[in-house]
Amino acid sequence: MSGKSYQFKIVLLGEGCVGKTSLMLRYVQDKFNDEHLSTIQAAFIKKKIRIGSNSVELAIWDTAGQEKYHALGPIYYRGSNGAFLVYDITDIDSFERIRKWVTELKTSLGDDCILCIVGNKSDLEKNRNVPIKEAEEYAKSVGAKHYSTSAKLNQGVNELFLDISKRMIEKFESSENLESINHQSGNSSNKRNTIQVVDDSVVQQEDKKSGCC
Amino acid sequence: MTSLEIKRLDSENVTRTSSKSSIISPTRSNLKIILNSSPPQTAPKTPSAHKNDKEIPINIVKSASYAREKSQQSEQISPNMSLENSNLNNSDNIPDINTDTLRFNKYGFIQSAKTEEIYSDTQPSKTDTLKKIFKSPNNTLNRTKEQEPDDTDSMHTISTKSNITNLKDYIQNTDVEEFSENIPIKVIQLRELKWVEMLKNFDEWMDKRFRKIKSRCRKGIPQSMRSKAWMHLTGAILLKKNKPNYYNECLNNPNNLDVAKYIEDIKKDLHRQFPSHEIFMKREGRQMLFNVLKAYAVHNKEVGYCQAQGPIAALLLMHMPEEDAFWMLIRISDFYLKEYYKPGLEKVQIDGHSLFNLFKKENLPAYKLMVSQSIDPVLYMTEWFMCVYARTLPWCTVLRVWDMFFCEGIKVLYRVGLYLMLSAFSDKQKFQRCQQQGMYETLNLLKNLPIDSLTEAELVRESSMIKISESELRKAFEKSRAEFSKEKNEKFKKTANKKKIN
Repeated sequence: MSGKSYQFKIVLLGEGCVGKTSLMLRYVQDKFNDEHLSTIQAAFIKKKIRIGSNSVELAIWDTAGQEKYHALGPIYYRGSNGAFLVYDITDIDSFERIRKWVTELKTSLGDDCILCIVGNKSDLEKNRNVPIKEAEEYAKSVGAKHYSTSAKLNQGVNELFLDISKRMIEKFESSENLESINHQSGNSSNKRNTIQVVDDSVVQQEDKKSGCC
Repeated sequence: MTSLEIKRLDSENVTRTSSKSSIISPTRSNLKIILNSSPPQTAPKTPSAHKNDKEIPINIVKSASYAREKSQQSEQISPNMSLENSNLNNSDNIPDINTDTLRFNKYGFIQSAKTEEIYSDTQPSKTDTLKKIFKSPNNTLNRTKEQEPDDTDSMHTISTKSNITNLKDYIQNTDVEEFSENIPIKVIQLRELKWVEMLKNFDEWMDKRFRKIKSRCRKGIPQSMRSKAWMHLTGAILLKKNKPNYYNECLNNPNNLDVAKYIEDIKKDLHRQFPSHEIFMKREGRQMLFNVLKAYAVHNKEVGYCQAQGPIAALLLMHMPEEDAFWMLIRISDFYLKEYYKPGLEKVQIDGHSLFNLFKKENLPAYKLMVSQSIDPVLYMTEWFMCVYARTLPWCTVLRVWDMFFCEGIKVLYRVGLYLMLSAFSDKQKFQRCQQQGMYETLNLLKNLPIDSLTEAELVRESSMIKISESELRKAFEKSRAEFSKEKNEKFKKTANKKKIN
């Protein structure tokens, strides 16, 4: 059976210096650098992966973390299918910041966006300031999943991206089903334009037109 | 795909011709700094900035302001000598004109190497040391690159002949000669003398011969004179003179202003500004950076610290002592880029839209393409404008942009921005690919600018050709401000509605 191909947008949000850029670079390039530049301009990177017989193209958006840039958030998370809300396990303030993002994303994107709460820098476990239980409970309470990662030691990073990809596919498929049901009952208001699903057989012809999200 | 091929820009694609004589300098409106007891952040404004826009003034700077008081500014010696002394390990006789700045030349970039050659006949040892030091940042950069060539933008990989993986690495690693202008030493010497002459009596020059200053800034300030010239052009030197203790006061924070939050932010960023540069590899260098940024946060609590100020302060510190860098940062943040670093970044967003509005006239097809792909200017110009291209262009080119920026103001950011956008879209094939492949391709194109267009000579020449009159700029700004506030209102209503529903 030929698989489907999906295109998803993931956005990384969180306080400055929690490791958003590092997570992304670890995942995409499998590299880690203590001394990369601070992120001032949000940037994206694309990566194609295969999940089972399906191919998934991820557009991963890395953003500037400092609170001053918060107002630019909507420009970046607009149309996201998934969001990583990253905090530093040694920095309680960065965890508090997550709550703001969760509220904002829920208001702006509703349930369309899969939320993942990511406690990064798990290599610094001995300096942990955010109790894991609290973090997990909070994640549960807002319908998000909690992950622990270390971009430095490459722990949990692949799993994180893989998991969100699977969940985005599930979400997409279920909303597709819902849509077709709605459609049958003559109620197709729920159309979303951010995702294009193209059958592999068709994709070769339409290859050039399927870039944008 | 993450890899994007950088193709050399064909010379035929560059349509603008070069003719320096056609540069017309705008009329200069004098502004006066009121050097009295009022805090410096409130003092300087262009008279025009008062019109119509109390909320977000347009910072069109035509010249820095100068007080009446006569002074021997050019002879002033920086009070912050400790740094200089520690960096200077021999006491060779250096011609008077350069003593102050040459000490910092070792941290200077491209042109300094050439300038220093002037003295090579008399002091070979010094030149050698300087050259060695001058090279070191490059070497360390290379080393870091091989190990872990990472920063945000390594994502935009380039498949060129070399093993360099992204444009930024390429720009900052490549032998700077590739980007720098080859100016004969004699010419540089001559220019130095001219600048010495000018700085002796800068007030008068600003008042009566601003055009000349402008054209000399466009030609590039000799590296040996650069820091001094910047201090004069911005007026920072007058502020400093007027409040000799202010830097230390801010540093020691006598009023116990609460800047704790900013200090945390600053600390997080200290190792993330030019981490491979000689100064910032050392703890002392990072301490200097911390001091300058902290003092500024104390000085202007409303702005505090914005991450984009990091690269600016760092670049300043490569050229001048802490205190001077502090005053320059004040001038940049409170005057040249007023409102840029405030929470919300409204001014940046508005300027982004007016840049885009101005782009319409320059390249309509590309403008339409970007509209159809709904690319927000914030996605490509934030770093350009907020860091005055410090993170975008090769170092020699950055310095030339700064030379012009301090003289002519924010217009320079627009001109360079338009130029970069034009050169990004100058390749027809790439343009077509953007049409076919969508927003991500277009953004990649704007991120990975054609390398040939980034040489200092090319960039300065071509961007100076782009004419933006003040009324055009003002119109574009007003337009985008209106759009912006309209958009904001709509968003606000939407969110309010959504909240109600929820």
